[in-house]
Formats: sequence, structure tokens, C-alpha cells
Amino acid sequence: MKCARIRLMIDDHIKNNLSPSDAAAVDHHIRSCPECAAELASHEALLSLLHTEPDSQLSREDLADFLPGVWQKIESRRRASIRQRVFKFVPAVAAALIFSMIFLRPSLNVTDHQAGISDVDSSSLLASYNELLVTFLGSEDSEYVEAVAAEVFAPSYTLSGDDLDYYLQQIGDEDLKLIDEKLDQLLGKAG
Amino acid sequence: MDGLNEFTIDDDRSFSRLVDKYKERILLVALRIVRNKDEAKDLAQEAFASAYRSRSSFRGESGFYTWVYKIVVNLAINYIKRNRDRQAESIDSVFSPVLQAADPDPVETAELAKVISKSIENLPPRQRTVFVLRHYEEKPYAQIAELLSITEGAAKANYFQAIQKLKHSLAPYIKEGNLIK
Repeated sequence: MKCARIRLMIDDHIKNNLSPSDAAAVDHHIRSCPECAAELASHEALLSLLHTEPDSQLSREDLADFLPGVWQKIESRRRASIRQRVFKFVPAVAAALIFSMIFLRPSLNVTDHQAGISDVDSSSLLASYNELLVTFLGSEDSEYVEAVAAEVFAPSYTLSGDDLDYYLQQIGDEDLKLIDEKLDQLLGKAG
Repeated sequence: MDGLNEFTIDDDRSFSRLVDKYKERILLVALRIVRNKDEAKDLAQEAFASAYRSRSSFRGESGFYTWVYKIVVNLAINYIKRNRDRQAESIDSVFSPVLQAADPDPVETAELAKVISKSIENLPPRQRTVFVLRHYEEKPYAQIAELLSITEGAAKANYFQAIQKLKHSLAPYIKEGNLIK
């Protein structure tokens, strides 16, 4: 065997990972090759030195809060993903946003609509909203829908007049029709 | 079981159980590569979170542990690539070779460990990762190649190069057959 190949086998030779025939070939080569013998010796010396280094250690404290941290990362990424999708201004999501802003956020100054639903039971309103959101998002994944709702109703979320105008422009005719129908149903329930 | 049967989609309790089962091993390999406990913990948690997020691509033949292990190794190598300049430090700034002649004591042993650690940190990222996987994790070359998406020959060559560089950087502290004390 050539020296280059032998040297790639030295580590396995030291660790007894070679087949008997390969080990014998390395031994035979080293007996007649001072350079490879020196390589073997220096390799062994290095490994001896490396073994004086204590291995990395973990304490109970290192692992105690590990799982909550994993879930925190999962939730954080999920929120970011939802926010990204919501703000892509997909018309359907924009429609759901408009709906939610008008009917479920008392701080929004859309007084005509608010007056119309002022007596609506909040639980039935939320159920209707979720139904609408499911329709618009095209998903019945309740976890996803709830997460979108949580994002929309996050205290930090604010909707400017420009945002509202933009959303309105994004809503297609079909979605507007659907909103109209849903609003009729909802206001009918309220009446 | 380590495979798909342990973890079904949308089963968060099963996922949490798998995290608890494998967190120590995943955190340990991250720590061995990046050599910083806080960063290692962050990378290990990120690896599990990535595994959760891409659970739809879970392959049946690949065990959960192997899958997360591959993620964390690649996160770690990317981390050390990004932070290479910050981590690079002269060995002389960590440990004075004059101490090598003194009798060994706990303080010196700790100092020597720092020198070794710093030498490993100064390896190029891929050589460093291959070295850790081979030396500390005792992975076969074929598995290292699969983890890093390189050939087995490249894994061997990277390990060989890492050994040569460590021999060079640690030369003041070793002699053939014995440590210099």
C-alpha cells in the first residue's frame, strides 16, 4: 500500500477498527517505512494528549428548562409564520381581518357597524367569526385558525386607516359577496 | 423505538417525550462542536423546534434521534462558520507553554484543557466538526459523511487534516509516546 493510504488508516488502526487483513497490511508497511512509523507514533501521542482533556459535561440545571425552551421556539416561529402570511395581504385573509376589525375590536372607530351589533352575544359572535375565518383561510385546522385569531387580536396589533383602505382594495368580488352574506347572517342573529 | 412510530403528527405529548429522551445527547454533541454552553443549548433547542416544524417531511426510515442529530450538527457547523473570526484566538493567549515543564496539578490540567479546546476551536469549521464527530462522538466515517452530506473520502481527509493541524498546534505539549510534563 502507498503511504497516503496507510496514513488515512492509522487512526482506525490505533482504535482497532481495521479488519485483520488491513491491520496486518498497516503493520507490515510501518515496519519498513520510517515516515509512516513516525506518523503512527505522533498520532498516538496526540490522542494521548487529547484524552487528558475532560469531556464536556452537562449539569441538571442545563437540562431543567430545556423542553420549555423548545416549545417557546416552536411558538415563536409559528407566530412569525402566521404574521407573515397575514401580512401577505392574501385577499381572503384580508377579508377576515376586515371582518374581525369591524366587529370584534371595540377600539376601531366604525361606529355604524358597532352600533348594529352592540347587543350581539360575544360567544356567538366569536363562533361566527371563527366560522368565517375557517372559510377564508380554507383550513379547518383549528389550531391554525385560533393562532391567526390570536395574532389578529393581539394587543400590539393596530390597524391604521391606510391599512384598512389597503385591505378593502385587496378583497375580491367573491370574498365581498361572502362577507356580505355572513354579515347578513350575523346581524340577523343579532336582531 | 426511535422512529416514526414514536412520533405522530400533531401529537405534542409524544414530541415532548422524545425531546426529554434525547435532549442530553443532542445538547452534548452541540456543546462538543461549538464549545459554548449557552450557544449549544440554543442550537439544540432550535434543532428540536426545526424537527417539529418540518414533521410533515419525516421519513419513516430515519429515526427521530438521527434526524434531530443531523439538524443539530449542521446548525452547529453553520454557527462556527458565522462566528469563526470571533472565536479565533491564539493558543499563547490562553496558556503559556512555560507551564509545560512544571509538575502536573489540577490548575495545570485545566490550563492544558483550555489549550486543547482552543486548538480544536481554531480548526476550520468542517475539519472541526468531522474531528468532533469522529473523536468524541466515535461516529464511523460513513455516518459522518451522511450527516454532513459529503463523501466518505472527504470525511477521512477532513479528519486527517484536523489531526495534522492539531499535531502542529499542540506540538509544544506533546512528544512521541509521552506528554511533555
